[in-house]
Amino acid sequence: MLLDVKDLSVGFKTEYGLLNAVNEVEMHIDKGEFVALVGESGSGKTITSLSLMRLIEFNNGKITSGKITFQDQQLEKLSQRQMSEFRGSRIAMIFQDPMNALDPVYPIGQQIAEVLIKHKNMPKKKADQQAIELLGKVGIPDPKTRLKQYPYEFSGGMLQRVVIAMALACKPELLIADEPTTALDVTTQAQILSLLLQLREEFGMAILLITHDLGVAAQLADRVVVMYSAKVVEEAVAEKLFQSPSHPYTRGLLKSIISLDSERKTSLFSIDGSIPALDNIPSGCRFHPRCEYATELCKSKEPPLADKGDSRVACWHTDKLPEEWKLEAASTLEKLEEPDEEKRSALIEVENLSKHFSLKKGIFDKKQVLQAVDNVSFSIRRGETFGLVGESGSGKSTLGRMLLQLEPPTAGEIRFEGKKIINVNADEKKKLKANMQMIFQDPSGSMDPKWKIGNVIAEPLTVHRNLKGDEKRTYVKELMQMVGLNPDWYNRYPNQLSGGQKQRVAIARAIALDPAFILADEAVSALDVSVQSQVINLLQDLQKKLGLTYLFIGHGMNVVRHISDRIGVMYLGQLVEIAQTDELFRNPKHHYTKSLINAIPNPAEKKNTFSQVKGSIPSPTKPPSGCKFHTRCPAATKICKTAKPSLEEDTDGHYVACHHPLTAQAALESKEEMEVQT
Amino acid sequence: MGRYILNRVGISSLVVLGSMTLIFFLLHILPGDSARLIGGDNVSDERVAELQTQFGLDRPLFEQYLSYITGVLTGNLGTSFIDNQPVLSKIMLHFPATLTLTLFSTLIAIVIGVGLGILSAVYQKSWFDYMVRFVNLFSISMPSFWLGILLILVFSIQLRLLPALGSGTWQQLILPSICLGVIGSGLLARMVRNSVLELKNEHFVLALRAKGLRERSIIYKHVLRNALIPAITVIGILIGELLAGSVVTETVFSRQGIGRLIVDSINQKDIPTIQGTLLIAAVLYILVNLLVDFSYAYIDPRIRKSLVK
Amino acid sequence: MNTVYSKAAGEPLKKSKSIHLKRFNLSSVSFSLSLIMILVLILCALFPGVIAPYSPFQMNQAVVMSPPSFTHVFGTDQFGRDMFSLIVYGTRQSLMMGLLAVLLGGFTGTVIGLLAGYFGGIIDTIFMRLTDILLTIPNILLAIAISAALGPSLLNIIVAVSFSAVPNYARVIRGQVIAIKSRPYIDASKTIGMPRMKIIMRHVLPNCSSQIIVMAALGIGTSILISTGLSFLGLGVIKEIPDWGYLLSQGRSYITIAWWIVTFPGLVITLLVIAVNILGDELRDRLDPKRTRA
Repeated sequence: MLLDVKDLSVGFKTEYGLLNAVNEVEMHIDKGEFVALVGESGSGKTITSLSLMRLIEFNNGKITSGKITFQDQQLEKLSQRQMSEFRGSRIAMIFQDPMNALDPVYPIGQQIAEVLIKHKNMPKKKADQQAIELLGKVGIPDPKTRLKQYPYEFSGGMLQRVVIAMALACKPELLIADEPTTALDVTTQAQILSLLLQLREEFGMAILLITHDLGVAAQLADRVVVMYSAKVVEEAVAEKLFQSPSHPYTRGLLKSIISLDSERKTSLFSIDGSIPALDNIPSGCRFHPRCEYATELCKSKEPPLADKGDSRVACWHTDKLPEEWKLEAASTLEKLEEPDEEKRSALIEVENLSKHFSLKKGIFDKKQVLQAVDNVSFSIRRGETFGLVGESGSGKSTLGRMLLQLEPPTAGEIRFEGKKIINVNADEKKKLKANMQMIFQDPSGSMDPKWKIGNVIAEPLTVHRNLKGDEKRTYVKELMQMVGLNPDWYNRYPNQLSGGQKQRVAIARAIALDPAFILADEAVSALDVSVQSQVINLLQDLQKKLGLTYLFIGHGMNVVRHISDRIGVMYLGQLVEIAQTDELFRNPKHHYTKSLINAIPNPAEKKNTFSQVKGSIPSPTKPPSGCKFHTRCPAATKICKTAKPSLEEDTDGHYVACHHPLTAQAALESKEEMEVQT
Repeated sequence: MGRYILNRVGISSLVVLGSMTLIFFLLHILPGDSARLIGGDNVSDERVAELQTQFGLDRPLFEQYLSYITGVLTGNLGTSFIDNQPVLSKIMLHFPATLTLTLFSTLIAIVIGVGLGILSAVYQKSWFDYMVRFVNLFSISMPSFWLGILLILVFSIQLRLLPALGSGTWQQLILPSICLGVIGSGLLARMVRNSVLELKNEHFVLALRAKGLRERSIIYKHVLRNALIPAITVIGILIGELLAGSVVTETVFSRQGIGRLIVDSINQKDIPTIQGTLLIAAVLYILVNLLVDFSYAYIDPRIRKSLVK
Repeated sequence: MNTVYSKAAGEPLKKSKSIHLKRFNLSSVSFSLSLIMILVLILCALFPGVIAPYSPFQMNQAVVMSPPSFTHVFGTDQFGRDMFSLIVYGTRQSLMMGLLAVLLGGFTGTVIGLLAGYFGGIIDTIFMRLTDILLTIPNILLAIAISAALGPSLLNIIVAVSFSAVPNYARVIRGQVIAIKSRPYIDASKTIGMPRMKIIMRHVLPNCSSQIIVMAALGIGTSILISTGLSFLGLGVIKEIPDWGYLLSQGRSYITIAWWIVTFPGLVITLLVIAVNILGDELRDRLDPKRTRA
């Protein structure tokens, strides 16, 4: 055994006393083992990882009880000075946001060498040499020049590689990776995960992966530990955990995952409620208020983490629940109706829409142009959900903002119900605004913190309907009921609600004027898995009830797939492919679309590699010539570098902008090929 | 790099032009009639008209403005209403005393301010920290003229250690420099303490700890280097404040500096001299800020690298 | 129906416990002392006749420049006036200069900051270049120049001090407005069709308010220092009842023989500014969203 954690509790000193953020956690990691610690935000997983390194003490935290045994050392007893000998040499750590994990004012080479000089007493020259070697190993091209560069000169993915190189400098026995890919784009995420797996082989170290993403955990880890509200609720070998979970929470999480083979447009499984705040922990089993199987026993007494042979579970009903679940019908989910054919006329038509931002720093600097959206045309049909996917910098949000007139387009035309909407008079503008609404990514940011939520929801009514007093109140309360909020919370402030609840408020505000069209810009991306499905279900329900048309912008392919009728794929400001959802996933024609689909983690299959697309998105200020994807495309030829492919209908309703579109057969073959290569 | 310097210098010259304009119009919308004031109490109307012609005050305002600007560009700041001396030579006469005072008080402020700021942040919540914060609160809340008078009371009158008034010898420089320096150090220490504390909570500092570096090297090698960037901004502002503070301090210690010159010319309504001294102060301030900008470029790689291209 | 929504969305987060449960500590002691100090001075400004033991005009040749004693706690000045009474009577003018300058400067700066920050573009460029230029002349010099140009009067000192503070307010508020402008709730109001002025008044201004209050509180200290400095230099108003800065400058001539004439007015200024600064810091800690969220 490499690391053994027993009864670990960690508290934070606050004005009101000690807040218990980690409670009697038990886990162990064997030599060379890959363990995933899974939990939603607020579960205490990150605090646990920081406590293992004894770093929590710098953040006001304190290990209040328990033992952390590393090899034969009791880490909790060491002084910080002794502990620093372990950190970075025998236990290393990588962090969620690589952009903030490095000192901005030193070159990266010096920061890697620093570790070697500190722990191995290496002379500077040799340390630099070693740093070059390490950078090469983590896949940074031309390490010799990049050694002298500063963190801001790297992209997020490249920087995470640098952080990994730094962590591996002293060949640690344990690597703690805290959400190492959460801040990265989908294609980059696959690259980093593959790198981790490959390096683990090479260095033979154990890895503790902290993640909220069960899909990633399932694919990579040997063993999985699930945390909920500061406690471990289940721990098992990965295969066992995914095939037959024992804790209702684990099972709920697993069922909330939207996989690629799930049936689209169904209402998703979701766990009710949200994670309790640390200063308001429920009695008994901490999961009982959200558990459909809770009994009196669960409410009064906390279940211990009990050994069940092949797993350990903290639940009073482990003996009978898994049996019950096996008998349960495979799927009782209701299928939502497809909208009628006659309704499917175009609601919004976009023609040759472009948005160019000009960036200029000083009076003597040259003007730079950022092509956020570049000549995009598509239409959204009445009653459908149009999904828009793309990585950060693809221009999908700018496109959405132009539709809602938050941003004036540089060129092109937008028509709503057949009428032009750019440069219309104030009256028509007001009418349009009532008809088009938006839901934002950040639920906290999208409402004024100084407003009561009742007033937040009523804001559109005061502008358009002139409702007052009781009339307004009644109407708002109806809306609150419709989105599943308790109407008695009318007078609460946004900071008293959880993320999912806030998103419901935002939805209530968006539907208040009974609009025809709602733009959902990454509306579920910031939410926890268990809450995400609640909000998706609500959106789907409302669409059915109110006949809404959605533009659903997202970067998670599986979520967009589930909710959308048709999908458009954006890359560097251009639409590269549009198709019916099933057609797009079955038969992607653009090489970029295919790589996005391949990058989706799938808990059902265990993999040692991820198919990946090389490189990262070029800067939109200097887009590549010709086909913008040619720098990363496996099928690029000469013509791709010079001629820009236009978006053309390939087969019925399937548009693609590519000189060498994939055929159905080729798509299948090259997927296999890529996996062999990596 | 060249383009960056060109940019900064270009903007700064525009700002200088702006300040010149502002100062000119500020002083010329002045309701009091300078010619009458200079003439004395029982001046005849003929004499006033004569004086107005002599100083060019009867010309249209815009014409006066243009000739003022062209004058400044050719190095002519005009002549004093009072003694007909060129303003530039008057300023040059008073300049050294102010420059040395500003320089020494800045040095004192930096040494004390940065030092105390760092130490009190490193030993946050210790008795030392509380003491430093208490002293700082005093030094930023004291009027500089009062501190100057207290220093004179203690060191010149009671202890008879240092001369109270005058400028010229180095002994006469000590009390005014301490007076201004202490007040500046309070501002600086407060700011340095805050930025070090903020940096201590930065994510990359956690990452440095995870690398196994000791607190000492994290603070002295990484945190301080980063704290330097905001500190330099504050030092730039501080030099401006100390320059301005010298107006009051020079009055307290009867130093023959720019500050005295301004106060005296205001009392005498000597517009060309007020105008010239204000302009010199503004130009100095702009120069200091230009230096601040360039030192950013030296310290912050994000700026430095973008310049080389 | 009731059960459906409450179960689906879960219970709301518990409201944080009251912040008044703070332990007794150093900062709360200095906070209450500051509050008392300010209250006493406000009383002095409102009812000087009740507090001062002597009339400020009463000259007593018998006690010219007598050191502090039980009858004259702060001593007497060169005319035999009671220093303590003079200081009490000078409070009104000194406080008024500081407060009014902050109100005037804060208001103008806030309006400029709001407009420049929210509308951006050419308005922003013009205002910000103007403040750039104003900032090149250090505030006390600017105040000196303005009060020299306008001539000595109470109003002119206030105008001069507040004008010199405007660029600072405008910059900070502008920065805050730009930050708020990028928050999604502003976009949300725009998509609803809320008129621009309403967005500014209902969303932007309330969310800058804590910043404005904190700046104003801390600005009172600076204003008092500058305005007393101006009257120390002789640019203030010479009235029958002198303000603190003027008292101090008068005392300078007698510094070798009567230390108390210069010491006490300065001490009162310092204590007042300290109290105001402590209050401002405390307000910042309570109101600043960046700090309270942690």
